[in-house]
Amino acid sequence: MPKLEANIQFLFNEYDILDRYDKAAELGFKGVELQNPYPIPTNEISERLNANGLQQVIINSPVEDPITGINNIPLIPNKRNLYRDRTSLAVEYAHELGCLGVNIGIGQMPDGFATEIVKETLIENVTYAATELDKVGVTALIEPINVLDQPGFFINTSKAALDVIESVGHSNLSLLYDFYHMQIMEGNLAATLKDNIGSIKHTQLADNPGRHEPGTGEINFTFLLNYLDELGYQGWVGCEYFPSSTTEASLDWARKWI
Amino acid sequence: MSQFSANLTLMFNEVDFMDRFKLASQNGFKGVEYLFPYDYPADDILQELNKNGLKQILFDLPAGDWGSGDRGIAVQPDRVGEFQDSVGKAIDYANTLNCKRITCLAGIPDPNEQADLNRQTLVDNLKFAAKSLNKKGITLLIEALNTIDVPGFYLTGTDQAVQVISDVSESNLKLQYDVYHMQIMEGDLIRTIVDNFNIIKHFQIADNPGRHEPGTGEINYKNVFNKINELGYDGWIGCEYNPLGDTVEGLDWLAVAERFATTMRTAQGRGTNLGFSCKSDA
Repeated sequence: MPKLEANIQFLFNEYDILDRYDKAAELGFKGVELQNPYPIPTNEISERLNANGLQQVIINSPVEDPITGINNIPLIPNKRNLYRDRTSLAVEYAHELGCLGVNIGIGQMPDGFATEIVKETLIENVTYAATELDKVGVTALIEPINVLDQPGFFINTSKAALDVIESVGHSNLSLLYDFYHMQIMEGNLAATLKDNIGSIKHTQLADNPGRHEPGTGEINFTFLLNYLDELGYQGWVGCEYFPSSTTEASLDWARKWI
Repeated sequence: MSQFSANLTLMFNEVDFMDRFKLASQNGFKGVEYLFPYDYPADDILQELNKNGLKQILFDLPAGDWGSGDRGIAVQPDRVGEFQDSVGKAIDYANTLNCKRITCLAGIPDPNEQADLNRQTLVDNLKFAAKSLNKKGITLLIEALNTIDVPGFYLTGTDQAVQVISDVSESNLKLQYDVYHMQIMEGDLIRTIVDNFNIIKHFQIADNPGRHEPGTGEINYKNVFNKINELGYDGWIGCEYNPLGDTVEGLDWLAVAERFATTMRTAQGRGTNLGFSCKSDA
C-alpha cells in the first residue's frame, strides 16, 4: 500500500497552519508535507509532529528572490551565495523536523541570462544542496512543474529533470514526480514511473484538469497507486491538491490508502 | 449523444473478420469501424452490415504495404500517384458501405527526405483527398499516433495535426482524436479535447499502458466521456483496443458507460456518479 500523506499547504486551509497538523492526524494521516515552514520556529512544529505521531515527509527550500518575489534563486547566476544561505536554513529545518526529503527548488527562467549559464548555475546549486542535505541524511529532490500554471518554469518534464540528476551525479539527488504536473506536460504516467522508479523518491498527486482530488479529472489514481505498489515504490505520496469542497469531504477517495 | 463503435480490427479477434459484424451487433454495438475493408468485396461487407443492423462508421484510406512497414503514404513525395488512386478506391468502398468518415494515416517519412517536402506532400495530398471526398459528403480525418508503437510516424501531436488541418483549409478535413495515442504522447486530455472540440469529428479509445479496455490503466474514462457528452458531442467513439482477455467478457465497462450517457441525457447529468471497475482491484 502506498503511504498517502497530507500537503498541509494545500489541505486543511480551513485552519491555522499549526492546527493543520492536528487535523491531518485526526483524519488518519501518518505523514505531512509543507512547502513553507519557515515562518514558524522548528520547536513549535516538532511539538505538533510529536503530539500527533506524524512524520514530516518533505519541506521546500526557501528560494524566493527578495527583489522580484519569484521563486527562482536556484537559477540566478549572481545569487549563488544567497542560494547557499537559503539551503543552510532548509538543512536546519529539515534536520530539526526529521524530514525525509527537501524539494530544493528550480523556478522560472530568469530574465537577462543565457540558458547555458542558467543551467550551469542550477547544476552547481543542486550539487551543493544534495551534498549539504546528505550530511544530515535528508534526500534532495527536484521537481519538474507544468508551464501552464507556472509559465517559463525551467525544468518542466521528467526527462529534463532526469538529465539534471544525471549531470549532477550525486547519490543523494532524486526526482519528485508530481502526477498532476506531468499529466499536463507529457502524459504516459505509468510507463514513466516504471522506467524511472529507481530515481523517484517522492511523488505528489492531484487530478487534471483543476488540480482537485483524485476522481475529479482524467487520471485513474486507483490504478496508479496500485501500480506504484507493483513497482515496489517505498516512498510517500503527497496529496497536493485544492479540495473541490471541504478538505474532509475531498478525502473520501483516500480512505483505503491513509 | 455519442455512441460507441466496435473496431473490428482489434475487437472480436476470436473469429474471422467477416464473422465479427455479427458479434458486434449481438453485443449491442450499432456501428463498426476497422482499418481496411479492401481485402473483401464491398458487397459482402454490405451484406454483413445490413444483416446485423450496423452502420459503417469509418475506415482508413489504403495505407501502402502494411506488411512491409507502411503506415500510410501521404507524406511520401514519390507516391502521390498511388495516393490519388487510393482515394478513388476508398470512395468506391465508402459509396457501397454508406460510410461518411475516412481516415488518412500520414505515414512514416524517409529520414533522408526533406521535412519541408514531406509536409508539402501531405498538405497537397490531403487537399486532393478532401476535395474528392467532399463531393460524396464524406469527412476526411487525420490522426496523430504515438511513436512508441509506430516509430517514425509523421503526425505525433494534436497541435501539429491542427496546424496541418489549418494549412490544408478544406471544410471537410477534421481531427480524429485517439485518447490512447495522445495519453502516451502528450497527456492533458480533457483540456485538449475542450480546446479542439470544434474540429474533432471522431474519437478512438483504449487505456494506457497496454491499449486494453477502459478501466485497465491510468485514464479515468468516466470523466473523459462525461466531458465529451457535456460538450454536446453527437459523433461516434471507436473502441480501438486489444481486449485484455475475451472481447465479450471485457465489455463490462461499455454497459456502465452507456448507462451513464443515457442517464446524462435524461437527467442532464444531475447527481450521477458511476465509475468503472478497475481490473487491478479485482
